[in-house]
Amino acid sequence: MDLTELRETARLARLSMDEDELRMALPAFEQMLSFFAVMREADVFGILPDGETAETRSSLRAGCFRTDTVSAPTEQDTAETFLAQAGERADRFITVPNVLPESV
Amino acid sequence: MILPEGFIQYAQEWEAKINAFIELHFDAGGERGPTAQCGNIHPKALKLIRGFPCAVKDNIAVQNMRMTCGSKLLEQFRPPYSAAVTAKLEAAGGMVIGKTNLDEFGMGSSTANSAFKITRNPWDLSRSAGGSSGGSAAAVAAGIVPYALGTDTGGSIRQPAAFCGIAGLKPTYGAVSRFGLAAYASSLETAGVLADTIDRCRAVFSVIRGRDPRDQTSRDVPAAAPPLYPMAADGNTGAGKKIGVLSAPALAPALAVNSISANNAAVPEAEVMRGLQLARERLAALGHTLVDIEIPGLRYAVPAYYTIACAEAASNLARYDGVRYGGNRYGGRIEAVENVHTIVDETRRAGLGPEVKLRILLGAFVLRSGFQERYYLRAQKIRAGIRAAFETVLGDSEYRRQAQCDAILMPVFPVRAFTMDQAALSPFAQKAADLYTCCANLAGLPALAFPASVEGGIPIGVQLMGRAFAEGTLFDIAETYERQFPFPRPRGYQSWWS
Repeated sequence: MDLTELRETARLARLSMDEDELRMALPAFEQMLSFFAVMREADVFGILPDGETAETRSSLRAGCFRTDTVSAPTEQDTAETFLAQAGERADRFITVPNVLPESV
Repeated sequence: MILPEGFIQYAQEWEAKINAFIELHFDAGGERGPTAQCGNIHPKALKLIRGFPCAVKDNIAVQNMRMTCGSKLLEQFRPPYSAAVTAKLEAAGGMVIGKTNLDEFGMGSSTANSAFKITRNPWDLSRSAGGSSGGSAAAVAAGIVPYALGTDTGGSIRQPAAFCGIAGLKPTYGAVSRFGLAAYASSLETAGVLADTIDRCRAVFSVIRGRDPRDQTSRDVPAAAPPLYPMAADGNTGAGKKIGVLSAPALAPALAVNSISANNAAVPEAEVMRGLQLARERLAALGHTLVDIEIPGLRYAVPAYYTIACAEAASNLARYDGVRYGGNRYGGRIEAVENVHTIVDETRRAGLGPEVKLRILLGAFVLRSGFQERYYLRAQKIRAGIRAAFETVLGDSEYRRQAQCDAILMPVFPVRAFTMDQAALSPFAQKAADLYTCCANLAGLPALAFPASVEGGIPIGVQLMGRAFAEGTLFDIAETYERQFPFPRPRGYQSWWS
């Protein structure tokens, strides 16, 4: 593991980390990866990964997870509640920063 | 809400010392409930919940309160609805007085990873209350609330419960709805209870459990599962259970590997082993049969757990992008940017702490093309093996096979509450020390932590792991213990909620 690999992983993870931050994270990252490496010794021949049981496969094959229904909210208009979460808003619109400089 | 005279001052004095809450109100409204939404509640349960205050870990939604998840990124976030668990409690007459501190997004074992404050242990203020539900545990241990909700992804309810000398239940995966929880590692985590007594822990669990159409992984209790409340008219039927013990020789193979790579972090200190031995002797004296058991594959449990947890975290936390969550409310408004990537990058750079970034990095790495087979898929196979090993002892979740034991007794954490000095237990050592707790999450099984004894003025917790949906059995056993050996309280504790 080197800084280049870590930098690329950070980019894929949408983490903007500068060189100092990456350098500081590297030892803990390497320590955990070497901890994970112990798993190589495990005999997992013939074991299906967890979550892939016959039961879940047949339920997926059946084309439905479950037949529950969720009733729609009836108590109030939730639009205003959700809009209230917006950082900036204009009436019923959420405003976001300009994505192009004004000179363009 | 009618609070006892003198209580507010009592709570404020404790809170000034322990920092359990991110948000705390003593005016949570008038006495409520039970309402029609609370369903059929056992009368005993209602008596222990109705009209009493409670606290909720700050990664569980409570309408009209903030939900920071211990993160700067969500410092101002107010969820527009309550989680299923809090709504159920409120419908039963429980009153939420505050949101408790935690490690950011539940990632840690000490609350030191909270962006806001460090929670102190009521037994000794120089020591950690544990984590990640450290705020909930400390609030209950200090008597500010009789019970609190927490979440447990790899031990986050049981470890702080053990550190603070209270009861802590991690329910069966699927027994409690996750609707309204901030997702960290969806296949491992569950909401659960921290409480002053086993009786109250059982009561709260009886209210919050149940299938919820808004959580596809939740389900009803199988018909063959033991009842949550004893059926016998004369009360507890907990006597005479068969309890397997993961003793020192049984743990040796797992510890041998861990000791090389994790600096002995998972090897229990002498006091913890004495606490386990004492619990074993006392349970035997109470009429239970204790037998040594082994669980193969334990040595791989913690690496597999962190591989899966980090992979799921990398995926779940991708939503914090500054648009859907963590917008420009924090850190000032971003005036103009060249593209949307800047919003995402800037939000995550400034909003997420170093431990969260480390786990996202690890998760992104193990999911990268070419590495999945080596890490993630292998971890999932190990998980399946560990689940099968526990089911061999405890029986399967569908109640088709006979069980060898009713429960498994094991330590919670290899050390008692550690001091807040960073050198006491490094972040890496804290992860390796999850050996005893993460198994229940990998296997999806219930586990109940409770105080076995006090050594050197600090409580020692043990835990009972059980068959899927057999929480009732665990409560029954722990209750026989508590009746003979009432749970200890820290100095200055006052009981307000009997």
